[in-house]
Amino acid sequence: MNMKKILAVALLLAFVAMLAPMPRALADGAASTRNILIGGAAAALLIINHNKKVHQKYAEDAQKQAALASQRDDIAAAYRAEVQAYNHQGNLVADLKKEVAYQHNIIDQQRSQIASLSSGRSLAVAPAPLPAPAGAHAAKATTRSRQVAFADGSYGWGTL
Amino acid sequence: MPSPFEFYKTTLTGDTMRKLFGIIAAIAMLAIAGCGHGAGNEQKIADDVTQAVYNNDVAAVQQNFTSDLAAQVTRASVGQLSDTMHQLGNYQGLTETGSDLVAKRYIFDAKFDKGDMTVRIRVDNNGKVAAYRVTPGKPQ
Repeated sequence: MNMKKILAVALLLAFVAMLAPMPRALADGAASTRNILIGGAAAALLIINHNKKVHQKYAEDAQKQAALASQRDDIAAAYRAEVQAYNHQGNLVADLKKEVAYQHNIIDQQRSQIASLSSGRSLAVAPAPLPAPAGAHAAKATTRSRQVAFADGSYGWGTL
Repeated sequence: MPSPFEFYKTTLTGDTMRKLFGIIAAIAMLAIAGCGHGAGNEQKIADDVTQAVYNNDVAAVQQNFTSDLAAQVTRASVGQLSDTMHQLGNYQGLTETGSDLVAKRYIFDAKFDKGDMTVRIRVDNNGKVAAYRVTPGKPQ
């Protein structure tokens, strides 16, 4: 603001100096020309300085805007990276779920096998023929004993 | 001619409404009862056969079997299976755990004092047992 005032005053003074009536008798052409040149040079210097300040201000603003744009771009890039990372995490979770389900099935199978073993028989091995009856009920068995055990580990009669 | 809403408001109120709901409820109960008659019968048959095997009662075992299956039953085989069951203690009864209604196959969990056995039966169209299998352990 001060620069504008100074510039306006300088210009005004220059014009006043140019337009001011000169005493005829004392007219000194060389001095007048010199004064006009000095005033013009001063005005030109002021204008140049003012323009330099204005351009400097514009440059600073542009630099700030460039920095903000760069920051904004960085944020957008960071957001995209986070989204991509989240998607990767989702895929990883899905894979882990599949693995847990598979392991759960394995555990169930092993539990079944353990339960079968604890009850005296293995699922993987066909049961051996039952030993000779030793219980009270088996003592009633006749000599035409019939095989009651099946290869799948079950006992009974008929085909399911 | 009243609209359906007017008919509902003016006619189906009070005692009429209660009668209507009573009839609907009775029909629903009959439908539910009709759907569930089969499973209990098969469970009773399986329980009877298992109890007969546990008691080493050959005649009772054969009673619910088809003639072909009854011919396969011997005193020795019943005795062997009875001894196997007695190793688990007293028989407490069984409950149905699965079925294939098309093939008429049923799976039961037979409980004993010291463990469980899986009982699988297949019945024919006459309700007779065409196959009877027992496996140590709970149904899987």
